[in-house]
Amino acid sequence: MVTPGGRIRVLPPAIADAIAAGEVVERPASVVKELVENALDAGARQVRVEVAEGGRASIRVSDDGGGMTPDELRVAFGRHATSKVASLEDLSRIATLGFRGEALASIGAVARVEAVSRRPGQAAAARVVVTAATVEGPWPDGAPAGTSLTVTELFATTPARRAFLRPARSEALACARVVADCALAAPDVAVELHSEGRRVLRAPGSGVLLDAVRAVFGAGAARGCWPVAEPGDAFDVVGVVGGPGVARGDRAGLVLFVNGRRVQQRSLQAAVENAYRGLLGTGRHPLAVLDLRCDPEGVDVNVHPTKREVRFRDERGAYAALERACWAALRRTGGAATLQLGPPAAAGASSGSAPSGARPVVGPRPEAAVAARPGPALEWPAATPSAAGLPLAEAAGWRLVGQLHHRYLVAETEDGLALVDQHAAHERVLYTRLRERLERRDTADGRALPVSEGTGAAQGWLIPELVELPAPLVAGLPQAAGTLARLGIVLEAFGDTTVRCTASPSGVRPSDVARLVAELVDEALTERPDGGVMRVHRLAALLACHTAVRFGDALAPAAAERLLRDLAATPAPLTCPHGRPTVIRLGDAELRRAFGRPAG
Amino acid sequence: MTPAVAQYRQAKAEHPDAIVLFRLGDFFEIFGPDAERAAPILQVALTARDFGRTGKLPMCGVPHHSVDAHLKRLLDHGCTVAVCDQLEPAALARGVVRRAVTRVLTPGTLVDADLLEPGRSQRCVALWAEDGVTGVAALDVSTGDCLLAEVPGGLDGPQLVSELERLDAAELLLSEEAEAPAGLAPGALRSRRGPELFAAEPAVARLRQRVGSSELVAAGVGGWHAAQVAAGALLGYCAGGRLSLPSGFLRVRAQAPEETMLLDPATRRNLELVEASGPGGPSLLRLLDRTRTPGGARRLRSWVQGPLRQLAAIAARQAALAELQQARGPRAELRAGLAGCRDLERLVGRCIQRLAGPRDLAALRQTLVRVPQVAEAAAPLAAPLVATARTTLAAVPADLASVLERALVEDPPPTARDGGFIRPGYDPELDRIRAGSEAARRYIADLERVERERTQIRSLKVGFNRVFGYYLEVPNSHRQPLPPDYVRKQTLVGAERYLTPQLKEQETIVLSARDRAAVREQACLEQLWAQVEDRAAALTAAAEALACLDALQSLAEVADDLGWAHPVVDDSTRLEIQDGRHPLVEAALGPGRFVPNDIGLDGAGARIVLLTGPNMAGKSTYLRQVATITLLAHLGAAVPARSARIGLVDRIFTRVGAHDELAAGRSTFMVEMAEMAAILSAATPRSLLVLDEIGRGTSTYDGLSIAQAILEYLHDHPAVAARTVFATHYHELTALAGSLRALRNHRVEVVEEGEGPGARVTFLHRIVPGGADRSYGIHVAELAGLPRAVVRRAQVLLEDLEAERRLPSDESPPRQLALPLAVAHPVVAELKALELDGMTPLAALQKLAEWQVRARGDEPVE
Ligand SMILES: Nc1ncnc2c1ncn2[C@@H]1O[C@H](COP(=O)(O)OP(=O)(O)OP(=O)(O)O)[C@@H](O)[C@H]1O
Ligand SMILES: Nc1ncnc2c1ncn2[C@@H]1O[C@H](COP(=O)(O)OP(=O)(O)OP(=O)(O)O)[C@@H](O)[C@H]1O
Ligand SMILES: [Mg+2]
Ligand SMILES: [Mg+2]
Repeated sequence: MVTPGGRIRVLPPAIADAIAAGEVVERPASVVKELVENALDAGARQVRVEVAEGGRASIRVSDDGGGMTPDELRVAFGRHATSKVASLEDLSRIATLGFRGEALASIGAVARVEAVSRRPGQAAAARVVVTAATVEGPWPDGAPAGTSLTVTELFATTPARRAFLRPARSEALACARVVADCALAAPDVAVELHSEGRRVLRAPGSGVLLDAVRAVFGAGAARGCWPVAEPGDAFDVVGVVGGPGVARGDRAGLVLFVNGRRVQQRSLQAAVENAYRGLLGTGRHPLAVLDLRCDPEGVDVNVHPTKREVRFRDERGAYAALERACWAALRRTGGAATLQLGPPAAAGASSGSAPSGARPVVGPRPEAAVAARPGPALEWPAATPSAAGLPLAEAAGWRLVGQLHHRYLVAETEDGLALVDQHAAHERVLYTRLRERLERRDTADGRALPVSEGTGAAQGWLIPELVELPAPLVAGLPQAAGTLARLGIVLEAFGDTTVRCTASPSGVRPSDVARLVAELVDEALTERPDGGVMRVHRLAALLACHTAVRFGDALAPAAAERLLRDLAATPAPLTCPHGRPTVIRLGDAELRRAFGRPAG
Repeated sequence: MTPAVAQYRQAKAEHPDAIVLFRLGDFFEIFGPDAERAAPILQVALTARDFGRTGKLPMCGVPHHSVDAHLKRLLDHGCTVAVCDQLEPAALARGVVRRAVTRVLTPGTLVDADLLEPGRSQRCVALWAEDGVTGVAALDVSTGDCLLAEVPGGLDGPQLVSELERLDAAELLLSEEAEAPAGLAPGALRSRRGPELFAAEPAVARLRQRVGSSELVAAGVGGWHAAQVAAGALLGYCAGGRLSLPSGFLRVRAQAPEETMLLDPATRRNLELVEASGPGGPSLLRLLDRTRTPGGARRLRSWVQGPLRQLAAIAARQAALAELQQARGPRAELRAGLAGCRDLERLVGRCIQRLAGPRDLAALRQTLVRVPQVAEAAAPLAAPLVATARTTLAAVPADLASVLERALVEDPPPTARDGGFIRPGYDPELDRIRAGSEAARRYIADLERVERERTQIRSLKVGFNRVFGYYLEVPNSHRQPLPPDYVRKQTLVGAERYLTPQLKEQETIVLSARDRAAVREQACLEQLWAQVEDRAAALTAAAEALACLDALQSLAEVADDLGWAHPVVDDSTRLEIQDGRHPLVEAALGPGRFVPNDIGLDGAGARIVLLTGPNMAGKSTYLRQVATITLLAHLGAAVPARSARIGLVDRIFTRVGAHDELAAGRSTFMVEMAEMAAILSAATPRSLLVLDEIGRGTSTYDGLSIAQAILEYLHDHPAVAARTVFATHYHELTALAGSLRALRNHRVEVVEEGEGPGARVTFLHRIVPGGADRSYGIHVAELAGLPRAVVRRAQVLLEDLEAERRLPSDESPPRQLALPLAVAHPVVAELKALELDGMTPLAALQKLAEWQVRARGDEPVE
């Protein structure tokens, strides 16, 4: 039978009324979701999504799927127009992501849509333009086989809803999540997201879920995951589960599908988290990507307008299957015995080679983790407050336990322990003081600071130090003397390649003065393209590094305590001026996990 | 003449063909004709300056602290530069600052790491023609890599330029007596030297001195006399430029002609191999380059410059790439390991040349530390190319890294000049010297306090000046007697200066210790150089292995990223591509916009595609796409297509677009025909020809005739029976399909709606069988924004012209090609129709005279 819309037909009211209706398009991300799902339904091998200004300016989704004829293209934007459902019975065995015939109509009602589509056998593509639910076209066009839709002017005619949109960055993130979900749902489809002209995600479409996980969560996370393939009577569970080492502070890593459809169902999430009980501390959530597969008749997807939840004929069976599969996978892989240290940036552990089945090895390897990230991996917002740069006020309350190998300070924290790199921490403290001093105008007269209390202040020397410097530096000394004096270093030329240093900050060893002075003078005199903007930073970092306690120095308890307190008071205590971490914290959760104790 | 002017004159006299940069204060100044040449290149203002008796001279200048950037620009423009610097800081100079030429830089002989382009070999190429061959020697003085080749023909031979481009020559060395090679881009630097440098016997001897004849034989160049002469000349040239090329430094290799494809300059340009044609767009190389190391970037560049010609070599790369493309985990590890590696090949070269500074050695150390990590990352991969590279990396002696670790401080200075780069504890002798001077230094430093106490003169000062070193200064206001060991040296207005024997003694210790420590550190550095040199073979092999792995992972990364497929390359003469794309056009259009197209050629069947279609339809894109995919397949790489099968191609020829070489004295059409002539003489049945609008640069009839003749020639002559794609706007040519068996018509599809002005034409960019009959040029002109009046008028003229042309050919639909050239002159028709019988001789003579007039001038009668 040939209908005017080809394979797409408008559902009769009886069927249309049986479909859960509601608002389909809430924000750019919902547009992206609907369009990408259509692409997957159309059998695409490649789906490319481009968003500009988080989708507020434009969204473009192109696929290489089956496409539409010119007639179908015109009809597709009508309400209840679908090729996926024809009868009421169809509604009870839905195997496609779409079934309402709503999405394109809803999008066409609130935005301008340009659609270009070509079925593989046809010579010409067809193009239509939809504005305010009115379809113009089709016109012939040249395009690759498949479909591409460009959505602009979203909510242009409904300013109230446009006003509700979040800033571009948040909308872009929401779009990214949607695309990531699709990449994880269909690892055999190459899925790309370009945001503001930059590609931010690409899953290779290799058919290997771990490749998609690597693309979405990064190489480190992929290394900490194990495959799950648990067949059952009514339910099969396939996917990957992450060990405790790659657990997260939010639920963004808990990605669940039912027959390939992304669901946000509390009960199913609970099933997975239950399986992890005892492995993760409070506030930690697993990384797990799982598809629960069953006969389409056993699940009703037609319950929620945005399809976020489904209803099972056997709800408990679904729950049990999911929990059992996760539990078994986690026990089998021995994931419970691993421990992950380090700040989230270094979340990639292990030097193991093949991710499949291999046991992750403990220990962060930041360079590898960073470099191995294929392009920019998705940046989820950090949910734990452990990201570098946040204040560490609570550290003031830590109790010093002692010093380890003359290198680290060990402290008892509220719920665990902290290890402090004494050199890095002291560097941060000194750096902060030195910067303040350099930036303060009132000491800019070039006088040396008075010999005073704490570390970093100038100390006059009974016996001055003679320092060898290259002649050009000595010649330039008058220019640099003022700046250096503010840092507590007093110099005068003493020969054409020698300077006499009569005061330097305490903490500088005599054996080190030569090197330090040479570097400081060099730095103070070097012409930089930035015109010296970064000079204060570089000088302070240089001096801090030279004057801080060494890795390997014994520290008196009082000095160690002071260091902890001083560190807590600096504005960016978690890294040294060179960007290395100063503190590693192990909370109750990590410790319990490491010892295999149930979470408290 | 001021002394500075004299210094300048001398520098210029020593380096007459170089641009002399002369240091004056904070600037490097350029004078005279040099300034006129340099100012536009450097984009600085040209001024004038009084210059001794010569009067005013043009001048320009650049700040001394940014001189390197400016040097680079001059070198990039093929200039030789001599830098005349101050030998001492102006502040310290007594009298006139001494100046001399400290560096002479030519684009092909740079050793400064800052001036070298990391991703590109720097080859200085010498040419020497004798007995019908041209010897080519290409030396990269930054690595010691010395490539020899022999090219048939003299300096005017057709292949020479292609060879020079494949070698990526940065500088060309020629005898003053030799002609310049034909077809060379005008920008390239040609350095000329007297014929004595090329004298055969001394030149070969110069080469043999550094490279044994057995080594030459082993490299396969033992019998290449011309190339050896060229190499010897090159060595002489480098020696003249004070470049040290120690004997172990040169690694001689032969450029084997059967291994890689020679691409002529036009093809390299048309396919945008290493340089994009438009500003902003990427070249093919840039699209492919995801390397992490300079060595890898150079390797990839050389691969792209010389596609493979042998199936086995192609298969080996394909195997490695296919595996790497799949193994995403190991590839990520490999990339991470490579990212920490530095330019190993050049670092080793700098050590052998004794140019490596402490910081270079630290870079070497860092790389050596990474080598095991790279080897480990490659461990799961089995492809022979990768496995061999891994074995090579595993064989790098581990001791060197630990020696460097012990010897060098954490973050050493770039140069050895100021010392302080050897770690305490590495060299006992150095430690002793350093400790010895320490006591003396303390003595001097403490002297002020000690002497104040001894003399009770609170205002006593210890000072230093250059004339007599350290001294004690006592103001005249003092009352106390001075100790007896004070020796007066100098009297000032308000003070006296003294020495003591002990002060002098300690000063000597300090000063001599400084010198001795410097000497000792230098000795340590030399030892380290020697240790590197001892392991040069293993290190150079490791550098090659790293470069190879890096280039491989780069290609795999791109293929995975862009969704490319591995083609079948075999010894058939097929050329089959399904859903092929042009990688650069596709990248420019953005995802999901490029329309893929197929091709199916077979040397034994449909061998020539004649492609017609409107302007802007995508003909040129299609042509370049076919050539680019073929080229990529011969790199062993994946191609932008769903699948492809490509029979081995020996050369790819392209004739795309027209461009002027007015500088070379050749017009557009002349260039086109010269390139075409070269193609027709060099193509073989294994070649791929991609010809775009041949003949368009001349009058329609001339062009059409040439195009048809070329097609027929390609079709009928077995020697040039190459696979060919031929795009044209001469729709008349489509009729050839009737007579040329191996020719197929294809066209780029368009959809036209409406008629006449206001008609809409939509380009589908799809290649389909069949010929086109219209060009829609006016439509494109309208799209391009030509004034409406012009467009309308053109439409009218076109309709007239078409009406005229349609008349004669209307009857026969599968119209035989009616070349307008063959249309008989109207006189012929009259002649045929003439009734001779009723004519007087006089009338006949008059008729004859009239015809002659018309035939000569073609003027209308009456
Ligand atoms: N990318 C595409 N490729 C091929 N056909 C498509 C594509 N997008 C939409 N269609 C056709 O248009 C029809 C309407 O799409 P629409 O998204 O509005 O409804 P649906 O997918 O059937 O149901 P739902 O509203 O649940 O998404 C689809 O049934 C399908 O036949
Ligand atoms: N396969 C394709 N898919 C999408 N766009 C294409 C394709 N081929 C060409 N184009 C677009 O069409 C433009 C014109 O292509 P091209 O220069 O190849 O046309 P042409 O037929 O050679 O025109 P002319 O006869 O004027 O030389 C290209 O710049 C590109 O933007
Ligand atoms: Mg849909
Ligand atoms: Mg063209």
